[in-house]
Amino acid sequence: MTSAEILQLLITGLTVGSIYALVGLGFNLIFNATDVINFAQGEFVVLGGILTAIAVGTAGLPLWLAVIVAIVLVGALGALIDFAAISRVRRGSVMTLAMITLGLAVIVKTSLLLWVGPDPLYFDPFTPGPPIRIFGAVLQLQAIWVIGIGVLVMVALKFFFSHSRVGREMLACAIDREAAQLMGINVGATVRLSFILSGALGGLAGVLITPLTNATYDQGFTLALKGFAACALGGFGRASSAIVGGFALGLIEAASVAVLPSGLKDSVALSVLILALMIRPSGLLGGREERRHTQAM
Amino acid sequence: MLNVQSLAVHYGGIVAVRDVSFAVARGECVAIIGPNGAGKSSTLRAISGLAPVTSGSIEFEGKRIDGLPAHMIARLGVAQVPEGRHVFGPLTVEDNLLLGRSRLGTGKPADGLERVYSVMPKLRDRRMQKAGSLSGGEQQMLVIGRALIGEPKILMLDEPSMGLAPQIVDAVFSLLDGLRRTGQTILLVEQNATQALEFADRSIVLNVGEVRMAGASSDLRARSDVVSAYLGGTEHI
Repeated sequence: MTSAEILQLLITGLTVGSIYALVGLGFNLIFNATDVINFAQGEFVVLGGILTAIAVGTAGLPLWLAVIVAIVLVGALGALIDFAAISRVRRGSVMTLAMITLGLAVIVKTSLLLWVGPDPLYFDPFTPGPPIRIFGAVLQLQAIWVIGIGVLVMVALKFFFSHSRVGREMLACAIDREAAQLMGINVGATVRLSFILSGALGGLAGVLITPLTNATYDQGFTLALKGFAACALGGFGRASSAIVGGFALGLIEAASVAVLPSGLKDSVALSVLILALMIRPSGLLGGREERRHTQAM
Repeated sequence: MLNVQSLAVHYGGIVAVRDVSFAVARGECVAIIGPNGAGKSSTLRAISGLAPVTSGSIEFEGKRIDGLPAHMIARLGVAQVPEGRHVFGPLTVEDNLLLGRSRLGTGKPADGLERVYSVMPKLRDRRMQKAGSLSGGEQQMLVIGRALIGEPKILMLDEPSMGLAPQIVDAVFSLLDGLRRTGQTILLVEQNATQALEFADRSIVLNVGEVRMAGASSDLRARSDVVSAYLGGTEHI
């Protein structure tokens, strides 16, 4: 492999990895707040892309406004899921709640099919212009946006959890619900906020990636699987795990395309997930119980 | 200040508290003693809103609080130091304390921290350590500090001596004694009857979810044989 090819592989891997990391972070937020794996996480991403495409294309909003509207709407959907479904059955088992999210994922997917149809939706990259060539590798301008905003959001989240009052309260609720309540912290509201943040993160991922990949109503499941694999790879429950796992998965996928037919890309991600669960069920960064609930670190 | 009337607490089909009535006046220190399973913890958890009240009523400063969610009861000035400590282990000592006044207390966070550190200087030395790495005694101090920083009107403690070495238990009680002298209202649940009866102004003996004896701690100490019988023979005074 030439150095240009390796560089290309790194660029592609980091771009896709940022998206997987954002999806993984969204998983973690809801997992830490409720112990539930939210199977609708991928639908958040698809919605982010499709809503932006509609706001730009059909409604004619400027891109920046369309992006904000889309992220706010997907965040609101997160709140709605908690309000209408999850918070109603908080005494239900984690499995029940996970099944509910799976059902919601199907509802969102089929509604999207009825609403926008089966064709991919698209909007222009954030900044127009030809790709940059560095040492023979191609760097799309949108990829810079994806990686840049992705990393920015990850840093902001870390700061939020370690330095803000509300962030600390979210950690407290994740670690020990009862103790948090005794401190006057409204656990229900904190869980609601986790859903909103998770939705907004998913929506943002969709907004970032759609100019590169388009948005189709049925991409959600694959995206959720990748985000889940990223979490499993890094170790569930920890923000840094989702980030490390996301980038690792992105790079592995990109590398696989260099040696295997590109149609096998998703199978590679799944194989990585299965291998990770078999060899190191607790993830690269360590045990779930030990690492859980420490999003700030 | 706190008035509990005919309280009953059931978990599913299990009766934890059958019929408990008592009151705590402002500035008073009251202890609830009794053997394992007597309903002491359930009584506290019902007051703080963590356990469901099946029947009876709980009034705080003349207002019914049974049925309110736990975080609202906490905001009224009712603090509970839970059994088994429950520090936020992965967070630092200082973050634990700051969480204690996240929604409670008045004034600047720094002043609140200073107040707690001045009473518990050890916590100041360990402020940047993870709370989970503290010793049992230090964790107990931390959860008490975390409750105090929210400036509670009544401080309720659930078995603060549990699992601690005798000299640490003494340290915890001398800390509580210091709080009492500042006028802090305290409701204490203890299995360690000796310590509790020495500390509290009044005590209540619970057994199988009902009040068996109640009165000035000095009177109960004088009738230690009867109290011992209710404590189930394993506890001696």
